Amino acid sequence: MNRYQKLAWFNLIVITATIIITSAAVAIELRMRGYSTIGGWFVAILVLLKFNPFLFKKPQGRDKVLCDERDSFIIKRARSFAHTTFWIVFIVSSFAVHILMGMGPKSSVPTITLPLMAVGGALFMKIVCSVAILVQYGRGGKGAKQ
Amino acid sequence: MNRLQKNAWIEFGVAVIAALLSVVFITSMVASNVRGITYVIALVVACCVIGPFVASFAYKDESKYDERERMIRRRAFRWATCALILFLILACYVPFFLIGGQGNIPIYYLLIIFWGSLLITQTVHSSVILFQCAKEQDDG
Repeated sequence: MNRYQKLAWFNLIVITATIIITSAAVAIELRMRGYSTIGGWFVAILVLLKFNPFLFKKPQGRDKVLCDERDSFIIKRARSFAHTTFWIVFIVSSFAVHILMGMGPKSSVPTITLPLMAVGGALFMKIVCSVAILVQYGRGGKGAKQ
Repeated sequence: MNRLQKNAWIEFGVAVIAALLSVVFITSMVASNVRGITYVIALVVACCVIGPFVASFAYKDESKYDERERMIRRRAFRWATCALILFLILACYVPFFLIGGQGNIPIYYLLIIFWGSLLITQTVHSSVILFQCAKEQDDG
């Protein structure tokens, strides 16, 4: 398993764990107290994503190779796929809300929807990119060993 | 004017036209408070009008460009993506902090964010291409 595969797995594990823990905490809190204030703070686990450069260091030294032509191509294609998928989901979700709720001046959504949308979009791109990397390495046989 | 500049101007022009059309579209939708199947039909009509813009933006044949032009486009794409991220962050967080967590925002604001992000992305993309081409011509 090379560095990019490890990074992709790490991203997926952190995001999945955050979603599960936060949902469970909010659900438990709602059941016990009727409202939730603490549960949402578990999204702070996502900070772990910023520790990628420290956890998976680039190989040092002259004879060490970070990535070859194939790795670069896989990363490029995964990013491109994530970008395209993001736009499709963005367009569909923008219009789906209107189809369901109407377009009148009185139709409204809570303001919390906006930051959730931004965070959701970023996480979605990260998930799609990571999955695309893993699928491409999986499809092309074993990943190159570092 | 080379083909890259010409394409940048065309894309920018189509983006502006699409944005203007969408303003008219959104305003009329809000005024008549459409929903459900009426909204879907209106949407299909709007897509037929705005479709060429999306097609021109999404399906560019990269193979007809040389290495230098591809590099310029790649750099422009990077700038456009940064602008898109910045715009989305601002558009999503500023109203949240201004109105407050318990407030409500009109639903058509989501559509405005969508069209705004399309317009910003295309404007930055075209501007960066034109700027780089102009700079190269100045340098000789």
